[in-house]
Amino acid sequence: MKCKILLDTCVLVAASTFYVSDDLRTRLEHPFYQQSMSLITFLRKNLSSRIGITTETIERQSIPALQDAIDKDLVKTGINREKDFPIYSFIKNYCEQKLKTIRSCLVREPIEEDAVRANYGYVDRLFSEKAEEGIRLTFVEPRFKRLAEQVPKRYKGIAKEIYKQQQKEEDYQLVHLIRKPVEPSDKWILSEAIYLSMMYNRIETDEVIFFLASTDNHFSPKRWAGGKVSNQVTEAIRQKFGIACDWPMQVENMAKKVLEGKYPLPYDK
Amino acid sequence: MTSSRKVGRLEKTSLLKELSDRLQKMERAAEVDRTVLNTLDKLIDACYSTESFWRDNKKESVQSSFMLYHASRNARIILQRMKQRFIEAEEKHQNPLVIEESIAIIPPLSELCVTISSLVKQTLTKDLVNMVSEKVQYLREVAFANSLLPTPEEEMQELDEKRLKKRFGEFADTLQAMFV
Repeated sequence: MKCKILLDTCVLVAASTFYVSDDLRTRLEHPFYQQSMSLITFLRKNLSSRIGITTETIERQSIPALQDAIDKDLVKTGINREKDFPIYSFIKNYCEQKLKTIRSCLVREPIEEDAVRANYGYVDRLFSEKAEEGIRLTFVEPRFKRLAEQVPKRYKGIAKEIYKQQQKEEDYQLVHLIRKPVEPSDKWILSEAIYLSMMYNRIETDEVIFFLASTDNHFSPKRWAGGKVSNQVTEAIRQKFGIACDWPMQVENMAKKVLEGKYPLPYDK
Repeated sequence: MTSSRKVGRLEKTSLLKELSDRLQKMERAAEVDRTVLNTLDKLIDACYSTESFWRDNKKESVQSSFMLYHASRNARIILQRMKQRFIEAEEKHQNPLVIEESIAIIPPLSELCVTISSLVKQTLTKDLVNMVSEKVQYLREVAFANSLLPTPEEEMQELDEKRLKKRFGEFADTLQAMFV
């Protein structure tokens, strides 16, 4: 049994930013940064296993993603061009330099565009179906109302609020698809992941477990404090395409199990 | 002298051509000629003027002005690094390596500088800005391969460290909000 990890754009930019912060001694504590950096460290340690992979699409998106963040900051109030232009120019240079270093520990896989395009239709349909499910569960037949109907009249008000909050947490991934529709570029990345997963399982003699490491809730589950997980979209991707999407830390833990010869459990903490 | 005139200097006075000619002459002689430092000083000054022009340009969006500023700044810091290497060439026994490596940077540097000059009177579209961004990346790659890219520590010397940390923290927050 082997494993491969495709790193989404967000993981690459988060790790590059973390490395810069480390050099500047302004450590970033959020899991978005910590987990991405930890996964890159793990991939570096296991470089000979060629676990970490990337594609041209993901690489191409990374630098504009860093630039987008700078562009957003440049229009904020309090920006002094004389003092801040040199600073943002330095940040851009430094993060891009770190991005390049990170890419050097990943295998860049070639892609057959026609095959990926064929997968795109299935990916698009999956996200449409899940968005429709989100609309149905949220607006047409919300279950919190049905559940609240079943409690004694005097508790209905409070029960309704509790069930509503519960449903909001459980269906987070579905509602997220409605609030922030998946970008075509993200659907393309999943299509590439499907192509690569199929390709590896065709050419490798051992079974290949394929992970997509991402902090984007279109792919990875939303974990709430208290242990509740919203994973309807992630589960649909896993069942339909055999790709395990998760946050970098969970992917790292699952990959470690594969390296020990054990089958990883999905949605492991 | 107006800012736009200063920007034009990069192309008009053909300083890059002068630099290229001097480098080729040095290559043939296989020896560093320190008069190249004067040409480099003039080029560095021209880059500073271009940086000021784009920094103060309010006709374009702040994002577009920033990208052109960023391009000019990168051209300048690479030229400063080149100057430093020529100064140290004898002491560090880098003759004629520094000449060969400086020659290698001329094509992408010229291309970027000509592009920047050509954009002074144009409306900057997103495509043009992206093109400049790609040219800067390429220039930095070539500079890195030829030991002409300043280290982050060297680059940081001209920055206010406290302000840098503050802005970097804000940048990290923005990036996080984009993806989580």
